[in-house]
Amino acid sequence: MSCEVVEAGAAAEVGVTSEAMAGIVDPDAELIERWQAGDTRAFETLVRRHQRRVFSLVFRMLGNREEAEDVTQEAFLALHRHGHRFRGEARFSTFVYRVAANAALNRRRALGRRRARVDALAQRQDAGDDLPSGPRDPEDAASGGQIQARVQQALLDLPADLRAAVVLYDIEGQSYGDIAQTLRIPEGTVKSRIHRARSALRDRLRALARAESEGVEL
Amino acid sequence: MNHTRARSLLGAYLERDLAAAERNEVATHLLICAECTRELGELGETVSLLRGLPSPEPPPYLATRVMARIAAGEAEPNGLRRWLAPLLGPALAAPLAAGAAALVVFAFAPRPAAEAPSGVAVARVAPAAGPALLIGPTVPVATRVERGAIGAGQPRIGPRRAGRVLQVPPALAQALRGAGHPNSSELAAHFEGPHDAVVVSWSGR
Repeated sequence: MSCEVVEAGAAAEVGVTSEAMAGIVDPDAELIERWQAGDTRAFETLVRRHQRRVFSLVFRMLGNREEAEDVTQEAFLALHRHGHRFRGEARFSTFVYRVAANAALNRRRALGRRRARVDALAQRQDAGDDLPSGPRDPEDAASGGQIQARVQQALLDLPADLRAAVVLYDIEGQSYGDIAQTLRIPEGTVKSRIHRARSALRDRLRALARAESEGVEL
Repeated sequence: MNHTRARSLLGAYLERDLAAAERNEVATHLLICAECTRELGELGETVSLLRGLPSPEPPPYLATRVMARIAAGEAEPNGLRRWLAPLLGPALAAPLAAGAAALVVFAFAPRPAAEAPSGVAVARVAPAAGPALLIGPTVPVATRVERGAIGAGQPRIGPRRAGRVLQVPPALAQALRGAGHPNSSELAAHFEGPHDAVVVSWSGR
């Protein structure tokens, strides 16, 4: 486990300042208040409320279920550890995402690129994990699974900063503003990274499709 | 608008993130440029593929596990782990601290009734820490500590295995929930990994 790197990421988050949140009621506000007053059950409700999106984000960042589960747990532990310093300057979901994204980026760095490539290959092999249930046609399902595996591999081949931006925007549906807060970069940089990531993904997908049609392993 | 400039704006065009005048210029260029038209189509398809990725389901026990780890003190800002880390290194300090925390949980755990001495206890240990020490307040006698492994698919815990310490395969935590110890369910939530914990079971006095 890499509690220490998660700590570093989380500790960097508590000083969030956001002018954008003024006047916006956070749907988690009541739970946060109870949690900060010592109600652990309120925190558990927050975990259950956000775990799906956090896990999804971390999984897309890491490409490995086991690592994603570990990092998701560590992110929530870090959140609990530093939560008393959360003052509602940003929406809680943004705060959670920031902690999770940092944890995933830190873990990613720790794992190293070579390991990630191994994971990508392994995931490609058992891509069925993430197929939607109840496929209409086995042939379509196989083809859909293959494409999804290809997309996930292409994502993993992106540099981490580009991947974080495109995952948060295109997969998690966050706004430019929220991503800027999460990654602590200007909105212009967010847009530029998203576009660069998409272009790189398109090139990579094209190469993967070509390689598969020629039976070549990239 | 020339080709290079139009091409550089395709991403913003796709996002409808251009001023009206610039957007019109790109649209005009697209009418006469097959390369930019193809590139825009491919970018759009890439976005569709990304947005079509299914959302992976988190493990069903995730929240329970997080809460169990919090209960074991793993989210404490000045926990034992931080105290141990400089002495033992983070790799060893974390599991040892967690193990100590688990023992604290034992210390305050409700004890089983005297007429029901059989049970099971769990403690977290460092993966390669050698013979594991496991003392729970409800363990009636010191048991011989011995590493072992449960074969896949038959995680059996019970009096017949008294005295054996077992590495926990992923399916075991589930089995622990029905193992009889009043804290089995809560404690089992701490452990899932194959080298993450040991389990000891014991029978009566």
